[in-house]
Amino acid sequence: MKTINQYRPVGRYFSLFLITFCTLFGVIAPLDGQSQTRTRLKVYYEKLPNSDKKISIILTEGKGKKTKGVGNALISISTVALDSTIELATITTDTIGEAFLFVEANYSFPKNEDGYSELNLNYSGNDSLKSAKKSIEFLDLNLDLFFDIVDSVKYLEVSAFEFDSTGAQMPIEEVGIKMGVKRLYSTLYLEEVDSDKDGVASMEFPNDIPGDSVGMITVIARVEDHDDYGTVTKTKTIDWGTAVDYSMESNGRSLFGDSAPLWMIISVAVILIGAWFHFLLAVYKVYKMSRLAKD
Amino acid sequence: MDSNSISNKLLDENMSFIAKPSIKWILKVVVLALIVCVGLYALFLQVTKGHLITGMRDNVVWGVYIVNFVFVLGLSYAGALIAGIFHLGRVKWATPLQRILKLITVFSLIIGPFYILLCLGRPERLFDLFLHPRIQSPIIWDVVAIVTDLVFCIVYLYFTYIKDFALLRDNSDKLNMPNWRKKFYKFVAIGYDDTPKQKKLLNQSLDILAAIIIPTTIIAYSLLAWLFGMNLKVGWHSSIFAPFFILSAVYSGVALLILIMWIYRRTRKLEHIFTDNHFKYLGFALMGLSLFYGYFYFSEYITNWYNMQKTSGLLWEKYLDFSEYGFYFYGSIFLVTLLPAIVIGIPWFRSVGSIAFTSVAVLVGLWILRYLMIVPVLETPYVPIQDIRPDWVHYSATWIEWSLTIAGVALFVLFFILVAKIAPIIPIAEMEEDQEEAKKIVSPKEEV
Repeated sequence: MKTINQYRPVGRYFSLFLITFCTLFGVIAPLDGQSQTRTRLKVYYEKLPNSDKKISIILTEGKGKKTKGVGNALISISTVALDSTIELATITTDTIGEAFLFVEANYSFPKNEDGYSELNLNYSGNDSLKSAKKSIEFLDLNLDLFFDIVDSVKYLEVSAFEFDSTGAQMPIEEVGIKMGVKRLYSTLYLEEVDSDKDGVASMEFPNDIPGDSVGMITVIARVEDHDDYGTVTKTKTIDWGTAVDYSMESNGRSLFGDSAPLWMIISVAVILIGAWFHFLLAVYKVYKMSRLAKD
Repeated sequence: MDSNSISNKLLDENMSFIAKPSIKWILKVVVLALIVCVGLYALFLQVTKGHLITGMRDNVVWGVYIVNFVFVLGLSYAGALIAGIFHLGRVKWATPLQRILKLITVFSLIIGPFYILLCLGRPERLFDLFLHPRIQSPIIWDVVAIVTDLVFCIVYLYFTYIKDFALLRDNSDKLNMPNWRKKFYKFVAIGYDDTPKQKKLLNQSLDILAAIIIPTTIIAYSLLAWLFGMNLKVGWHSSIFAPFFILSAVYSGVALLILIMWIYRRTRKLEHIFTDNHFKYLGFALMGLSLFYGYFYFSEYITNWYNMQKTSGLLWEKYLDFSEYGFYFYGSIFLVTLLPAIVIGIPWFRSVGSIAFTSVAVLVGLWILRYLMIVPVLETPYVPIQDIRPDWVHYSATWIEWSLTIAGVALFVLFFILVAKIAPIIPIAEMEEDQEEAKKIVSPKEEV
């Protein structure tokens, strides 16, 4: 190993690279912050199971990995009826740049001649942030759930429709509808089916979905992030699940019971007593050593 | 003690720690203290504003903090394990390294657990862990193991200092020490006079402590591994996690030891203490460990790949995809498994500087691999993440987490600088004992 005592300057090159990088980054980063930062509005329209509407707004600044939410910003929301603008609300974003507007089911957004409702959002910006605008158009889709049993086979049917100006139902075809059941933390989707010309999507419902203690389950139909309809969800509860007994049985000594298994208590005790006994023995020997001091 | 002894020669060579602090030394301490203060400010913000100002969210509930926790505790257990094995194996060439190893152990054990406390959303409930402990819980195992190990290692470190404290006490007049130092060394030397009986008792005590620290550290780090391995998550539920953790710990410990040796060798001109041979032996150890690490990693991958489940497949896609974690994955695998074999295995590349550089690369690579062990796994649950903002699905650490991470490193270095001002960084008395023993072995031959 004759080269071991020769210091090779690999580390120096690496340090030089780091210093150059940090210096460049330190010079460029502040320059980047001298002008107004671009902001961006994102809007999501969602129709909730109780037919309330939820407008989710996210205001962000920066781009790429430096994107972050703009907190405490005022966002004005308006809609258009004929040629006039109706101010709906002005809301403030939270600390992470989010704001939500909930609109009750009995309020209908004005529609244009094509049946679309329009929402305009505006953030006016400030000294350091540029203004941002966003408009969305959406149609008012309705979902309804029906349950049918044919020859002991269960069928879940979902009807997708709009109301025309006279209040009559107009079936909507070729809309992808996800069908599933509500679980404790999330939705278990079973199938996604496109609606037919009658606006109906159906699927055979399985018999082995665990429900509550009497077999009740909440069935969910959902159109997700559609270009025209946004997100629309409808739920209904039915006794099509299997009844499950959730009562807890006492398992005696077990990992998930109140008392630990005996083998675990004994193992832990032996290890801890063994280790601490030897530790105290070592400390005692040093104590004895200190007592032998000359003065 | 004999004033002409080898220890006095070593003491004369290494007495810079007694000198008054230089401007450079004070500047170093101030800079490091400032970095720690920035970390404390970040901690204050986190405690007052909550975890919202970190990158941790509902799904990725662990981030850089837990990576630091696992990494730093690994360093600590490695220090204790290697020191214990060197001590019981009476490995003479390793005597100068003993103190650094024990200091790594204690400082890491003090800093590491703070990172897991930073993960707590409700830190005020921490005491419930002690008030209502469940022996079945891996968290309790971890708490008990860390506390036990911390007590053992602090006491072990102190006991190994006793002989040097006595040496300093006996040479206090010769070294023109201030009064407070004289009193301090007299107090901490607890009456050690190097009599045969005292030496025997102290050595017995050190043997016992070394013997119990080896299994304690193995159990403690295995417990931490089981904390992950007993979870059903893909990427964690593995039976080889405990030995893999131990191997990673020893690997990172050796790398850090080489780095610290190199820093002291360069800054304090300790070429005669931390010799080329030390770098050569530890360099080869590093290379051997890198090959073992590669073997373990491949073993883990091949068994997962052969019977790939859907979620496991998603996780491995993330690891291998350059638009996700591919760059970090391949990069860290190169740093950890191939670079040591290339730099240390090929004589042309091998030098003290290149071995130290490889150690830094290995430490960086091992830290990234621990990050990959935690964050992508949490981003890949069995039940797909639903109804959540897309930017919350992926974890990205905030400046709060990075500043607390850097503050931990600064505190580690600060501890080293401060402790090195109290006593020498090399175990002078033990080195003297080794050299005297060597003389006894050589003497009969000389007589012949």
